[in-house]
Amino acid sequence: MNILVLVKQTPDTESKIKLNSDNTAIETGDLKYIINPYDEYAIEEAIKLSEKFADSKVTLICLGNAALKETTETLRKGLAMGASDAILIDAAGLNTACPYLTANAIYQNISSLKYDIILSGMKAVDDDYSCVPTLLAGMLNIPAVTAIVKLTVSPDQKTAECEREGESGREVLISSLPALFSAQKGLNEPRYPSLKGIMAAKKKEIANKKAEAVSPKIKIVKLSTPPPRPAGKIVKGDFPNNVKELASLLRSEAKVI
Amino acid sequence: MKLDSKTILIYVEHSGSKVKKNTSELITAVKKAAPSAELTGVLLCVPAERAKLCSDIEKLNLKKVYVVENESFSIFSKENFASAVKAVIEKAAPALTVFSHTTNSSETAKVLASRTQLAIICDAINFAVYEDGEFVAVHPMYAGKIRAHIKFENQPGGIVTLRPNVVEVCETASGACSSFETVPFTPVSNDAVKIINVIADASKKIDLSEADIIVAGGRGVGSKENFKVLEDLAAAINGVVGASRAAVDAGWREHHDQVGQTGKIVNPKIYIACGISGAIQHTVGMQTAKCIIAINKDPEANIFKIADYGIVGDLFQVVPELASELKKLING
Ligand SMILES: Cc1cc2nc3c(=O)[nH]c(=O)nc-3n(C[C@H](O)[C@H](O)[C@H](O)COP(=O)(O)OP(=O)(O)OC[C@H]3O[C@@H](n4cnc5c(N)ncnc54)[C@H](O)[C@@H]3O)c2cc1C
Ligand SMILES: Nc1ncnc2c1ncn2[C@@H]1O[C@H](COP(=O)(O)O)[C@@H](O)[C@H]1O
Repeated sequence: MNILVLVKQTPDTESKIKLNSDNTAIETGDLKYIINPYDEYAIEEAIKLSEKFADSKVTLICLGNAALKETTETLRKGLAMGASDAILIDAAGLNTACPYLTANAIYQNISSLKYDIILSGMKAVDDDYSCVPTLLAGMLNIPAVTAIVKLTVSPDQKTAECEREGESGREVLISSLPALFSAQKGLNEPRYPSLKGIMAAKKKEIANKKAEAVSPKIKIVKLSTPPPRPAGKIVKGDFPNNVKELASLLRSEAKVI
Repeated sequence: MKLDSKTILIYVEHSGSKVKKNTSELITAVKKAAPSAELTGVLLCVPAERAKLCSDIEKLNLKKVYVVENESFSIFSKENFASAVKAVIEKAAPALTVFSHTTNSSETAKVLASRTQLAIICDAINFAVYEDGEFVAVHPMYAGKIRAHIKFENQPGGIVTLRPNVVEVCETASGACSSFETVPFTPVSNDAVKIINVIADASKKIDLSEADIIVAGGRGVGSKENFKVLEDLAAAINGVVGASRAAVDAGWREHHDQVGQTGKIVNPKIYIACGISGAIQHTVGMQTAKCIIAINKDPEANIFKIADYGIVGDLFQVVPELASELKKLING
């Protein structure tokens, strides 16, 4: 089975994000990067499938800044977890602030590849769009099932049963393959790369690709930081008087009860 | 994209018998940004629901409502719903189509974008029209640490989804009745993806991202059984229970209860954090709550830095007492 996994590198979720002086971009100088947490679930699921089905291949696909060593490190970590190949599409010159453009650049590079399943994260924790998977599936004309928490591929590899949290409960769906599935937390527990995996990943080639720029559909005019929360107060006093005081403050001062 | 005096299409979300509050949120946000735009609605429903929804719809004060009636809408399918909205867009040619960013509507909006080639801005918290007349949507990035002000580029029209619960609804005076236009529609049968079962979760009353009151518990709660204390407080004040990742990863709560960067981003009126330390991945998910109350036995806990009110103490003492005090207040 051929599995493609979309992976993006994102700033560590602990990071403080600062704006540049003219509020058009974030300061990237001190940022530490990680694999987008949702993409780790996608990689793990792909590797589990490749272990189950003989002759499987897991190819990581990343659109990112090829000049940044962190981008290749992200891919190497995925390879160390057990992926077979990696493709890095250089984002230089592309306006990746537009999810349509991101999807299109990935589309250009994978539409001619063979695949049974595409796995992705359900959202990237930097831009928080959660749009790329659905847009990409639309371009490829394959079904997209988003935010899955369970995936079971049929033995003949023609269909997959999956589960996701819907509005009225847990939905169980069957999709024909090829299809795209985006991963929600709960799908699995991503493994840590083994030492053997890390060594093997160092030797692997990362294929460098490019994409033609198309015109963006949306544009970021500026960035801002949210207003800070005013300092709160600790309700003093001994139990249970402090709790009584809190309850009355919620009514008289905060007016929320 | 400029909006003035153009048509904006509002996706009317409903429960089958009532129009949901988030529809009014959409209207409030759009009216504030573009007062002179013409507001129309799109309603998808099964035929039996139309009469029940009529009076709610009239209160929305929309210029015109396009109704697509079909039995197939009894089961949610993003492809089918998106193709119905597409049919309406082809008729109404709106400059902007606005959805609420709820689980199903946001999925419909994304499929619609992919089918129509229209641009989409997902998960906005505010709209504005700049001095030059450009429509701009504000979308939180990096889990809310940054806000991006985004416009449509080179587009005749666009789609935007608005996060529920962030806009305070302004009641407008009831005006003339909306006019209705029924739009014919043949459902798309999607053979590629089929829902074969929906396992309803009885404990899940409302989605966290739409809840007004959330009582959240963290590692400090200590066990699955202990969450009963929080359930009781939630029941007393008509809230729902949420959790930190530590509580979810320990198996005490379901994944869909998790608040934070890799969980739900929530916006309630009241957020009561019990036994939660306040790690940044948690606080980014709830820092826009109107009133944050923290209960933690560690006076140095980070959560107190963003809380409006804090109590330093043992949650097993404080939470039941708070439940009984608030119950007294509510029952007058
Ligand atoms: C990539 C990534 C994504 C993440 N995403 C999320 C996310 O979406 N949501 C999230 O919540 N976390 C997330 N985290 C985890 C986050 O970093 C913290 O580890 C987590 O939020 C801690 O949960 P906690 O506050 O419940 O536990 P702790 O940090 O262990 O805090 C427990 C608190 O309970 C208090 N306490 C203990 N007993 C009592 C008592 N009897 N009465 C009162 N107080 C008591 C303690 O003083 C302490 O402050 C993420 C981490 C990573 C790396
Ligand atoms: N630049 C990218 N390169 C590879 N995959 C991406 C990229 N951007 C987004 N994706 C994939 O799409 C998912 C959702 O991203 P987004 O729509 O940006 O929130 C991510 O979890 C990735 O799996």
